[in-house]
Amino acid sequence: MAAFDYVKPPSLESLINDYAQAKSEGAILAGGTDLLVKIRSGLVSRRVLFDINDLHEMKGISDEGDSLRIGAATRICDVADSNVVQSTVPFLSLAASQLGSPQIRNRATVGGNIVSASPAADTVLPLIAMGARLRFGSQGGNREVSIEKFMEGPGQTDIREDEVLIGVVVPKLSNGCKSHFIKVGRRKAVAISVVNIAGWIKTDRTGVIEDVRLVLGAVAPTAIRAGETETFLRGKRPNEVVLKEAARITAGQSSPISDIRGTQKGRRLLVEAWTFRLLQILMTQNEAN
Amino acid sequence: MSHHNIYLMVNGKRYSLEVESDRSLLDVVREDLNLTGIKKGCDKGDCGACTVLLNGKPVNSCMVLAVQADGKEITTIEGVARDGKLDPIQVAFIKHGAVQCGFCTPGMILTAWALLRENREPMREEIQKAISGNLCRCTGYVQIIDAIQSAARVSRVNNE
Repeated sequence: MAAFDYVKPPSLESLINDYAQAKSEGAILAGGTDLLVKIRSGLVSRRVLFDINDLHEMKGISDEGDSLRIGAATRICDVADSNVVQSTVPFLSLAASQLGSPQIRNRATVGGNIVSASPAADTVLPLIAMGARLRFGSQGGNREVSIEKFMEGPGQTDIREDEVLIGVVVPKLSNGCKSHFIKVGRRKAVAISVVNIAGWIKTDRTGVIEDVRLVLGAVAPTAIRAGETETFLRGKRPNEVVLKEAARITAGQSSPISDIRGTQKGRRLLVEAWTFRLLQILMTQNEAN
Repeated sequence: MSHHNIYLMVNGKRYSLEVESDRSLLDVVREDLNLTGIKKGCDKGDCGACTVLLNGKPVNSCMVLAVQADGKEITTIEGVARDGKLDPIQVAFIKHGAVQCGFCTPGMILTAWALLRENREPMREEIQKAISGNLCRCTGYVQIIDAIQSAARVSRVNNE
């Protein structure tokens, strides 16, 4: 007997109805790179999988003026290769291009990377840094929530039993902002991040930092904003001393654990070293990025 | 539904099959179609030994349900040689000693094939990135990268 049934709903509406009816026995199947592995290893068991891969409402990247709308079933490779993402939210494309391996990026989806809620999920960092909002559909209607509020812990989110993630709305970086993403793994590919960092910065004409965002992954139960660092940097003219101090403050805001990928102490050192590097890159980058 | 009637276009040939919903494309291609070129390594998307081209793109067939591949085009290593003649990539793998135990080779060659179709003149770094999802425990990758670069050169000459 098959471990689960497979259903391909013909429309978003029928997906929402069938999924609500299945209650906790149903799961959404997008790329399958996480779900199918979990089912096979016995970590997750579901009676029925709902395949969303061909639902056009949940696919693709559209330009909505000040923001982009990315469908939940949009593949990671399409985010990495998208011209509009590269030109308006470059560090999201950068993060997507470093997730998993080419084979995984050809299947895995943005929605899956979000709802799986790994503290190390690569695309989640730039999405938090941009203040992205998640759009859910359910029989009770639609709901929108900020991605930062949505993440509650490793594998834990604010999602309700009958809700389906339809897409994510990502504000574009404003003119003059520079962004970057750094992934530190044990190897360059097929690696879960030991530490990952995303940030953007905006300086005024005299070189003073007007605004900045810094998000850390894999060093707390969810990806976190380094709020103290952001406050410290605002209004300052960056030089090596300031950036070093910012990196030190950032390491203090992380609360990493020791696991097979790295020790607690090692991760703190990585946060400090790579935050300094990320800030340096942001300060020396060309305007185009 | 737990049983599905599907058809797959594998290496240009159409197959009609009945599959259970939980069977991976990997298992169906190996066990039902007897195309055993693709290998089951980790069965969780880490090693790339099960790489096939799904509508032209390399994917781990262990992470795709057979039912999801309904109506799609699949290329396995058995479909790379044409009319009994090896592809330039296969020739280059032999020439450069890029095959040792051979377990990663089918996936590696398909990934290389997809790369060379998009990029006729890849740099070493581009090759490294393209094959980063295909693990090889024997060669240390150097011979594989040499082989892919040489195959790209041969293909360019053949096409001119």
